[in-house]
Amino acid sequence: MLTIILMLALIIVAGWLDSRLNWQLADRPHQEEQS
Amino acid sequence: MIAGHYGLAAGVKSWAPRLPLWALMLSTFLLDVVFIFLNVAGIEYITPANPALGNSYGNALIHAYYTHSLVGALLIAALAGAIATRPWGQRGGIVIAAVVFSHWLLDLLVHRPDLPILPGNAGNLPLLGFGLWQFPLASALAELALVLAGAYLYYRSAISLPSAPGMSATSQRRRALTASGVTAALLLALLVSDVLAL
Repeated sequence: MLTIILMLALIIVAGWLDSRLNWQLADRPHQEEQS
Repeated sequence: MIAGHYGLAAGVKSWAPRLPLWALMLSTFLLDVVFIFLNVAGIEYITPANPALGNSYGNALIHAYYTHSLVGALLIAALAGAIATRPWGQRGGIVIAAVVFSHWLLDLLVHRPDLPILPGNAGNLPLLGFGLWQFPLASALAELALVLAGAYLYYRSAISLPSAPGMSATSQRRRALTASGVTAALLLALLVSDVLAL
């Protein structure tokens, strides 16, 4: 049960914290093309 | 293997920074998400490799002859990649498809031979799996390596992001450290929880 909670937490909590960063400003040679 | 899949997803973020972490995390576990639905429907299931050991770490034979067949995994990866192309472009779709299929490759490393080539094990071809789960310590260490590498790559990318207009460098750095720290802590907690079968 704890394992399932942690899996969901990674997607939701870590995903939310990740979305607050300015990844659109990342300077990488392999950036995704925007459709 | 659970935490290792997520560790790989965190590491991929450093290479494909514009893909959301939640999408990479979901993609790396998509085969098991589909498995859950087929499990509820009674089509796929898990049995212990050694009944005396119960649900201990790695003691599983996974009868997932559709979601975890080589061809089935490729089809699910292609479908997910095609869907991901709409919001994240062609390259984003390819990365998502690759992350989805990485699940099968990592499972190939740890599973006992229970992965079919064709859906439904059509043709009764040999089942695949290198069986690292038979050596729980080695398997757990391999997962730990994936978790640590993924967490480090994510941290390195996050901390190097420039500040957005109107945001101080201190605030940006704090956010990067928080995201990296929480992600690393959750990955390690997931590994411990899985190894201890909590």
